[in-house]
Amino acid sequence: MTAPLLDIQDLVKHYPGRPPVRAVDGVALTIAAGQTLGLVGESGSGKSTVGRTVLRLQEPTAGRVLFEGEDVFALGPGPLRALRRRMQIVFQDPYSSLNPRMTVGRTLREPLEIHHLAAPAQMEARVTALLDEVGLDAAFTGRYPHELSGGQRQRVGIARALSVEPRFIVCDEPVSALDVSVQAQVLNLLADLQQKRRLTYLFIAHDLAVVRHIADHVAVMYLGRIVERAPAAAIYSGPRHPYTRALLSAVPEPNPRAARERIVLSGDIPSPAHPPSGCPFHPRCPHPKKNDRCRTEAPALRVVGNSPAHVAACHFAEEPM
Amino acid sequence: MVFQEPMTSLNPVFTVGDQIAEAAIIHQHLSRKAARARAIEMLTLVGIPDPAERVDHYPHHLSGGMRQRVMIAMALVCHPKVLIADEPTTALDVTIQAQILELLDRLQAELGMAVLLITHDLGVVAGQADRVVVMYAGQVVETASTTALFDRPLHPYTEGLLAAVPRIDAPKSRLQAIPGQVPAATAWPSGCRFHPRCPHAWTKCAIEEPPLLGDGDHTARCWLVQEPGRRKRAP
Repeated sequence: MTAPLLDIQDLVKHYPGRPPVRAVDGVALTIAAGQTLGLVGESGSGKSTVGRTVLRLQEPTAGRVLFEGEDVFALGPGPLRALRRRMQIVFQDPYSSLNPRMTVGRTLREPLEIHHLAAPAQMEARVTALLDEVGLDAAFTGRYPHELSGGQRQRVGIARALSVEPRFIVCDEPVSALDVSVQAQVLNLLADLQQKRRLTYLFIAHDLAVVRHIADHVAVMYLGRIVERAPAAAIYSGPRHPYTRALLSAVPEPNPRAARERIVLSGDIPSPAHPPSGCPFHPRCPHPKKNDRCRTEAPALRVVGNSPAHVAACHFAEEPM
Repeated sequence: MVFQEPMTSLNPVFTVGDQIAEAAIIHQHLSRKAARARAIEMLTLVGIPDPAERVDHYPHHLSGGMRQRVMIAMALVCHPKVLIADEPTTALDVTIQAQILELLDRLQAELGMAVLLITHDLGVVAGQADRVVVMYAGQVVETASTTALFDRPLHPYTEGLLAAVPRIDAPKSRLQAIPGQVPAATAWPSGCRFHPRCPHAWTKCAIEEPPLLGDGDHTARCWLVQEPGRRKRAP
C-alpha cells in the first residue's frame, strides 16, 4: 500500500481551563491521495478542531500529522507558509468567512499575490478562470459578499481555496448552512473538482446522509475520540458502535413508508471538560449488554468487521442491539 | 408557537419557570404559587429531569435540546388547540432532533392538538406529517397527503426537492440539483414563478400564472396538471 497523503497520529487538543476541555483526545486517521474521508459527529465532538489543528490554524497539544511525509507540526514559519499552498480549507459559514469589505475579485487575487502565483498581467484571467471553475460568471469579480446568495458565497469560498492549487482541502461543514437544492449543487461541484484536480478531502459534517454522497471512508467522533471508522459502504450497511447505530437511525428518511426503528438516545452529549469515566458514550448507550466494564474501562479501537479497515471502540461491537 | 432558535427565543434574564408561568398567570389568572406548580407540571410533561429543580434555572444552564423542551412547555401551558412549530429541530443535533420529534409525537397524541410543522427537511416531513403543503417564492405550489406527495409529486419544484435530498440509503453518487436559485422577493418572475428553473417550462409558463390545479386532495400550481403530455422525460 502506498503511503497516505495525510497521516494523523494520536492528535490531542486540550483547551486550558480547570479542568481542561478535552476537545480532541487521541485521534488517529489516514487519508489516501484522491480520496474523501468523512468525519462525522455532533456539536462538541471535536471534529472541526481536528480539521483546524491539522492545518495548524490551531496549535495541537500533542500528536503528529504527516502530510506527504512531512511533519506539519515541526515546520517553521517559512515552510509552513509553503505548506499552506498545498492544504486549504472551506469554512462552514459562507456569511462570516468572506471579508465583507473585499470584492470577490480581491478575495481571489490576494492568495495569488501572496504566493506569487500569477504575474499582474495574468491576474484577471486567473481570477476569471477560477470563477468559471466554480460555476460563477466573470461579472462576479466586482461584487461584494452581501450581494451574493449563500450558495454563491460558498462557491467563492471554494474558488479561494482552489486558487493556490492545493492537493488537500478540509471541507468544514461546507453545505450545512445551505438550502437543500443549493446544497446538492455545491456537493456536486466539490465532487467534480475532486475528479478534475485529483483533490483529497477531509469532509467534516454532522449529516450522515450528506457524507454518504461524497465520502470513501467515514470516521465517527464522539467527545473527542473516534468511535468507529470504516469504508463508507461498511459503515452504512453494518454500523458496529452503538453511537453510530443511533446516529444512523436518527436521520429522518424522506420516505413516509420507511419502517423506522429510531434508536432515541437519552440525555445530551456530556461536556468535554467532564468526560465520563470508562467508555465516553456509556451514560447514553442503549446497548443491552452494557455493564460495569463500560463504566470503568475505555474500549480501544479494534477490528470489528469483515474488513481490517473497519474498527470500532466498543466492548460489545459484535453483539446485536 | 415554538420557534427555531431555542438559544435566542428564551429571555436570558428570567428563570425558565417564570417564563412558563407567565402565560398561566396572564391567561388563566393563576396565583404565582399555582403558576409555579403548573410550570413544574409542564416541565415534567416535556420530559425534563428534576423539574422541581430545573424550574429555577436560567436558559443558559440548559442545553439546546432542553431549551427547546422549555419552549414547547411554554407553548403548551394554556392547552392550545393548534401548535405552530417553526423549524423546531433545525438548530439541533440529529440525536437531539430525534428526541424532540418523539416528544412532539407523544404530546400530540396525549393532548389531541393539531400541529403546523414548518420545516425545510423532507425527512422530518415524511416521518411526522399527515398532509404537506410545499411553498415556493411566497406561494403554495403543491398540497397533498404525505404518501401521495412522496409517491407522485406533481409540481416540478417538489420533484426537484425530492431528488436533491441526500439519501442515507443510496450509495455514493451525484445528487440532482435544481439549477439556479430562488429569485428575490422583490422581483418574482412573470407567469409561473418557478418557470426559469423548471426543466419542463414552455411559453405559456412565462406568461400565465397557473392556479392550484388538480382534485381537492392533491393540487399543484402547475400547467402540467392540465397538460401532462408536455412533461419531458428525464435525460
